[in-house]
Amino acid sequence: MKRLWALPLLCLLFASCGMNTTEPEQLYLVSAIGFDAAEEGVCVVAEVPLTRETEADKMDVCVFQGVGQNIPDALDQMKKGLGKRLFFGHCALAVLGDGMEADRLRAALDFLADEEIPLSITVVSAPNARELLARGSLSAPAAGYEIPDILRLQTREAGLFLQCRYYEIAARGSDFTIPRFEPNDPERAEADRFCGLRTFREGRAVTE
Amino acid sequence: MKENEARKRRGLHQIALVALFMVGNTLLRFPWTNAEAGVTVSFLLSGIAAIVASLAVYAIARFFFRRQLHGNLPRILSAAGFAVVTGAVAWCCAARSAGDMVQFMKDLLLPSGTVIPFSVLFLLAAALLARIPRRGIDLFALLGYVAVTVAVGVLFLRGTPQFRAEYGKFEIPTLGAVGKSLVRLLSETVLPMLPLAVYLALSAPAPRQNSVSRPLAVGVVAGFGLMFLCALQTLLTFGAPYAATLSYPYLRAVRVVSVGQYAFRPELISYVLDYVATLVRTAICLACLRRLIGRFLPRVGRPVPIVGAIGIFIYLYLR
Repeated sequence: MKRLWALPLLCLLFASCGMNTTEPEQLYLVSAIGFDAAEEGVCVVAEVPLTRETEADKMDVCVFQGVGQNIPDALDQMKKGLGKRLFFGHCALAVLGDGMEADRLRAALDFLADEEIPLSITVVSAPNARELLARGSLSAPAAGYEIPDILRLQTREAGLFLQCRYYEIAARGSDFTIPRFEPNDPERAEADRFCGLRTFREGRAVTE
Repeated sequence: MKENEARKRRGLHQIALVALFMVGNTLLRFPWTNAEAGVTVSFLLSGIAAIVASLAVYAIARFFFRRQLHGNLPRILSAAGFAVVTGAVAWCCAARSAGDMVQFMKDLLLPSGTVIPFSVLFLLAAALLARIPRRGIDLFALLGYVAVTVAVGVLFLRGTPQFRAEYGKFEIPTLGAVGKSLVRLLSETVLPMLPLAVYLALSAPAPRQNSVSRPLAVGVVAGFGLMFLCALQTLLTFGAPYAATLSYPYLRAVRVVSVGQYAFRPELISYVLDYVATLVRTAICLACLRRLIGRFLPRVGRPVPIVGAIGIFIYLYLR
């Protein structure tokens, strides 16, 4: 009977089973990822908020980009020269730029199915994903955290019911509707960046 | 009066034990892939089949083992044959359960690390649990069952905002769709009933053996109830077609649950369910093996769980 109490101890030992652990300081924590159509194929953009050890309340935002024939090539291009590994486990937003349709759209959605990326990531559309992320945000440290907040506000105050998280889109196959956002403009109200919906039918954008 | 209370308490322990055993690694293996519409019906059918199978095997085990085996050679030989088959099934079930848990850890928690320390600890815990007296296993099962029921209930309630009414529409499936998933489900639910029923028949105090049938049936229902709640959460969150494309769909359904704006991904709680249920199934299978061998060779029975666990580790390592 006494041996029974050894079991919780054994359970606790599992916490130390993780080998090859990585400290957060060794990673770039990506807050948003964007996909644009490019002449070479596809352009992948990643928004990374950076904190400084001396000024914890101030946060800079870096936008990395890579261009390649396909998404893995573009990611490889982006990773070249980076001193840390990109980590997508905290990614809150995926932006599909105009032109991301058909095969490109399928490839982007397949990429979002990766184990590391949260299933509940918000997917939105924008004229240009790079511009949307590069222009940053007004109220939150990064656009990746601001846009889901704007959508939550719209749901609460305007009663808008959107099914734009990745798993909701994936469950619908290639027919879905996502919100559309425009890049940050200091002269416009924050919520005005939300500028309607974009509908995809069989992987093609059909309405603006 | 005191005896009645003790019997009631033992009944509760047994229900918890059977329910956790029932969940076992079935939730990790739940055959969503290509199942679609047929899965709900086959799930219910396999539950009924598990109750019938467990009661039937329990009756057979009682027939063979209710009295001492000395003297009657034909009965000893038939009991030995039954024990060999049950022992083989028990070891296979234990290996499969432990293997699924190790694979689960490898896929989700330690994709870049080694799972050897985890495998060793898991098998050690299972062997230890199989070696302790029955009261210890019962107590562990009761505590574990309460913990996982609370965890599953809380996660279900927190997951309701993600549910979509359109995924709840029930369509009558074709016979082919039911049959396809039923065959796979039966191997997950009916086959493990053999070591469980034999374990209960061998470990129940002789005069009270009849009292095990009821907890056995109620425990199977309780286990299926728990799995049904998990399956329902998965179906209502993702819909059957999308859930069929995911590995570990329940874990992923829990992953999208959030508490407020800042507490995300509480799937760690669901690991408790998977860990406790697979541990109980592995331990009961090893305990069944120990009691079966102990019935024929009393001096050899005691180290059987450790030897069985070492065998499973070698099998998993070679695999």
